[in-house]
Amino acid sequence: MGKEGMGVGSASLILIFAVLCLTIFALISLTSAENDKVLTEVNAELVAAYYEADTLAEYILDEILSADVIPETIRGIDIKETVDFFTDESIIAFRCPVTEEKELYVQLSIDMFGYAEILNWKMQDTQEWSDEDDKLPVWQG
Amino acid sequence: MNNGRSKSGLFLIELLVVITVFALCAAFCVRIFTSAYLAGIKSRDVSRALNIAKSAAEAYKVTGDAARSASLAAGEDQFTVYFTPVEDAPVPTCVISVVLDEEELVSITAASRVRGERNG
Repeated sequence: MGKEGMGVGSASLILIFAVLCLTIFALISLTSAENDKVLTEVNAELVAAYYEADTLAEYILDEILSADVIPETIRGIDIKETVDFFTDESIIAFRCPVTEEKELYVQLSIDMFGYAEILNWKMQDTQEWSDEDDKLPVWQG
Repeated sequence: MNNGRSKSGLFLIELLVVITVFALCAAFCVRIFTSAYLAGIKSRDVSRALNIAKSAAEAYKVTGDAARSASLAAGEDQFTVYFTPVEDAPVPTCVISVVLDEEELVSITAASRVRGERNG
């Protein structure tokens, strides 16, 4: 009774433990890799969308530079024009949508001789940052 | 004695069953690990292709010349970059595609900032 070695059932216990470990590690590995792949694809879509907006902005810029009178809308994008009374420069701004949350903001100035200078050409959020989100406790110091 | 023999036999049978079940589970897990590995490879390739496409797009925006852009944005050997000009575009525009093993990974449209002289 005392010297029987490994009893019946011990192999099954080891099997259950090994199968559990293998399965959990495999599933964690797969989940991590899939999430990484999804993140990469989202990033690729964002970059493609940015360059689409950039291309549209270049087309609009070309029409602005070749127009005698700047229209209020070009290719479906609203154009805002203001005049700087001190320098007599036209400041023109428009926004090309990139995604629902992001847009490409373009601002340029055109002097009285018709030379243009790009003041802003940047991607920005369409929504304001909300500091009322208190789902997670943040240390306030 | 008979009791010892039956216990040994039972243990042997149990061991055989355990090994069989473990082999099946291991085969299933190897398949999952392989899927994870392939997903990682795909993610890495798309990331590298994206970097090459961005370099090519920025080079094209500055030069307006597909050939110069291709040399400026020279990427890794296994990737191929295609520049397809867009017809009837107001400014020089092309579609930049990065291909690996005949599969298009990334495609972006870039418009060049190079224009002719404008009079004020």
